[in-house]
Amino acid sequence: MQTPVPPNSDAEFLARRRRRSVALAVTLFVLVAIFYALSIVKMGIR
Amino acid sequence: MAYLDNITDNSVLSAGARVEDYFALLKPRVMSLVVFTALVGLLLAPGGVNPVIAAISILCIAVGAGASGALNMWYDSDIDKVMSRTANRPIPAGRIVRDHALALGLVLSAFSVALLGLAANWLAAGLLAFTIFFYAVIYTVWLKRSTPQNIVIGGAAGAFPPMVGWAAVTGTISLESCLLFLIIFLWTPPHFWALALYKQSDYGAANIPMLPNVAGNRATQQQILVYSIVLFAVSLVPGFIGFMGPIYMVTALVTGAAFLGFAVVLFRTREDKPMRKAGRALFAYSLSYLFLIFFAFLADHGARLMGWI
Repeated sequence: MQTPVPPNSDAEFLARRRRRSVALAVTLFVLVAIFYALSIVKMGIR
Repeated sequence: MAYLDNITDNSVLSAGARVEDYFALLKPRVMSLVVFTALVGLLLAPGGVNPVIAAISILCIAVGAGASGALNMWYDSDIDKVMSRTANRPIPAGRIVRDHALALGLVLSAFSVALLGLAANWLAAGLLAFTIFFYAVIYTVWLKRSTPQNIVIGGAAGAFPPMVGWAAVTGTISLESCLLFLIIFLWTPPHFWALALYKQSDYGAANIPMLPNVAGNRATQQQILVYSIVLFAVSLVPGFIGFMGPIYMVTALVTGAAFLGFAVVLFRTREDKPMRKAGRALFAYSLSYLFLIFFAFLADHGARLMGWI
């Protein structure tokens, strides 16, 4: 199994964090969207 | 940015990490304030709720707040390392690797939101998801390092919990729950700017554009005073619209006047040392203020239910 290599520079560290931040933002946004959609659907049914 | 050198990434496991370290990732002190304000929102909401559902809702809000804390610590580990106030947090201290905090934050976010949706309603779950998104992405990733207005806008994240508690019972957003939101929202800037005044060098070392570092002490003292005046005025609105009675109003008047007093004392100081001391005093009092005013909401509501007022 390949051992992940730690970041060897600030640029690499920042780039990796930026990529993961985007993924985090998308994931949480989807979570928000799902539950707002569900609440709107629920209100519509009422 | 030599401070990045010692930050380990996902190359090693969190060897030696204890349960307390993972618990510390959830920012338990912030969580306790979140739980308290959410509980007040939940108990003030009209209609009542099953106690089991109420307990699950509060648990979900607490876990959601903890998830936001873990995501914040994941992103901010580089600056946490250079600030004395945060240097001993689990990631900068090397007790937990960064990616574990990210994973924990994501898992707890999904768990808390889904459970709240199933136990209470989808609106409350949506609000909780938005709160986590707002704190982790809008505040932590975007605003905190880019504008001195970071905690003004970011303060909304800490103000949502009573709205979530209210929505868990009623399934709606109302004027009353918006007032609870507004009180915390307006309380946040003077609270954090008072901290920033006496921890200025910390924020400067971490390159965080807090108001004192960017606009100077005088501008910060003025802004604190302005927000304190507006907070005092808004804190009286629940009484004026009949949402709260005399117990709340007397408490809001007394504690609000004291808050304003601390802000005026801070505003009048010019020398560095007395200013830091006054900033520290306001910061400490502001914590008691928020607790007291939310406790007054509960006491007033309880007295009405008992028919005492």
